[in-house]
Amino acid sequence: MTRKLLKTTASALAITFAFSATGALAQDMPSKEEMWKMIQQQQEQIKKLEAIVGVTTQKVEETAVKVAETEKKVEATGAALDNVAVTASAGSSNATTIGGYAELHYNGGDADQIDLHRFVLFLGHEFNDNIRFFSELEVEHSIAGEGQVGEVELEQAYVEMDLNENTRVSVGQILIPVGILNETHEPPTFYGVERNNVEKNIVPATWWEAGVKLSGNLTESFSYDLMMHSGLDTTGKDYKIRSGRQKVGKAPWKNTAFTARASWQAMPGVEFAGTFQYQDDITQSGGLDQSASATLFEAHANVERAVSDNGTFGLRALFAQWNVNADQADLLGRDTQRGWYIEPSYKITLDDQNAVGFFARYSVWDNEAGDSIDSAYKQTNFGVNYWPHKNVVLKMDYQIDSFASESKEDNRLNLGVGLYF
Amino acid sequence: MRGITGLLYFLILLTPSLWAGAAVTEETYLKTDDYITAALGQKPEKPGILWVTGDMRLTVEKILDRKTFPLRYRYWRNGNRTVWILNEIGKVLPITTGITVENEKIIDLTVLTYRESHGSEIRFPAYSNQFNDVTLKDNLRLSKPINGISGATLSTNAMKKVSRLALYLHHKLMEENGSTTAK
Repeated sequence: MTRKLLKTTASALAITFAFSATGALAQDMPSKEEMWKMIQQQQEQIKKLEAIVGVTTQKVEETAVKVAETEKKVEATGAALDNVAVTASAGSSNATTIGGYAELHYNGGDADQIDLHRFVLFLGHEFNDNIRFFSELEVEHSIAGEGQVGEVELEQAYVEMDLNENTRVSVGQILIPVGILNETHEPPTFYGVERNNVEKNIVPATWWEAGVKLSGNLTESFSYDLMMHSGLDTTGKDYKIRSGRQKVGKAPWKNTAFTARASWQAMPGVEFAGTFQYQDDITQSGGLDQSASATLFEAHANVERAVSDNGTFGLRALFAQWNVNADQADLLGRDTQRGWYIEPSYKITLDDQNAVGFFARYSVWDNEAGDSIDSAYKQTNFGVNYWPHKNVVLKMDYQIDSFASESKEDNRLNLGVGLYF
Repeated sequence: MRGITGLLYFLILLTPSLWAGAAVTEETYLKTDDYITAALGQKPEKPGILWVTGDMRLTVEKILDRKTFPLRYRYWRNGNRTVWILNEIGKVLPITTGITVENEKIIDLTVLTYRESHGSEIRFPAYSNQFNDVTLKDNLRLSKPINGISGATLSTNAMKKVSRLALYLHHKLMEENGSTTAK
């Protein structure tokens, strides 16, 4: 652009000079010497301007190179920051992740107590896209130690490997694939301050064992779990199932247990599942005369379906029964231990984060159902969950007990706060 | 002793499957490329980059429902169709999801890698097809309710988040290019 301007100026001067050399105007014009001097001055100026243009062009080219280099540096910095941000938020493979949940309960009635029931930390690590580790460490009832009411427990610690897109195997300390709550029990995911008593006393949740689990999908809606694991030990515990959990602490493993679960996701938000378990001796006697084989059958439906833009209908129903084959268990009525519950609910989504849900639950359980003596526990709960955030829940429910032993009844108000992160 | 012997038998039975599993690792890594190519007809040589500037970060945080420091998002584009590969944690581990958006609507959502132990049904069309034709409302919510997978509430929440994020990022990209009206 500048060059063009200079050339135009020079041409104009030349034309002016040509005209000035002729006719009457000549006497008003500069002399030839003066004109020559002016031309030389102009030439000098053109050279200077050309030099400036050359320098400017070089600088523009240098600037373009620097911009390209800067873009590369920004790209590299961005990539590095992406990596830092993604790693910090565990959004990449090869990440170590942390999470957890906690719940604080107030139980009114005869109990009349406050209890930080659970504080749990998750720690996971993904070695690659196909191999990962997961663990769950829990403090129950806030304080643990000699003579204290609480416990420190490692609920899960296992390695999971994908065999192919639809099959994976887990090895380690694993939650037993049974029931609704045993594997998914973060407080914001269920109704009621306390976990339901059927799964607690019959299943018995939360229940983990050491072993190997094969899981997979047969079709898009059918999945299965097969697990071979350590079993219960009810020795000295009168065949009471919940008391037989060994929690994988120097636990006798003379007899192996097998668990199989089939699950059908009929449609999103609708699941039907059944679990069968066999243990050839829940006294871990290794085949001695006190052996007691046992089977567990559990079936449940778990429904959570949107019925409007803001409304979700829920229904949980579960049945579980143990059959224990031992003379002593017969005498105690513990050859059959069973329970069931049904829990309808309705959740209203108030906005992006807030929701409120109402539920009612009727439960029956009996760990001595094998005899003719009425020993059943019946309980009705109704209450409300309020989620001020998707991962935080405030709970309130009222329980009405109807037990065979009236002295154990404790009709009461329960309050709770739970969170997950 | 009988227990351990049984366990060993079980492990031996699994061994061929474990070797077969080792062979699929590479296939898993290629899956993202396959998804982008299928979604756009061909994979662009380089992804585009959408920088998170100004108030975008606050909106992204609102959608993801946590403090975060997103610098930029990569996308692949063909005309008005964009593909986003996003990671979000379900219960503990990240879920990698491919989302294709066109004209402000999700036209496909596919879970590319699911790492959680429960709720793997989330990968299948019976669940993911619910996102087809879903748009983002002015209040940043999805235009229709999405039903979850039993036992995988936290993973289904993560799916809702990434679908909202993909719709939002698509909208901002089109807005930057003057292809859409301000939301």
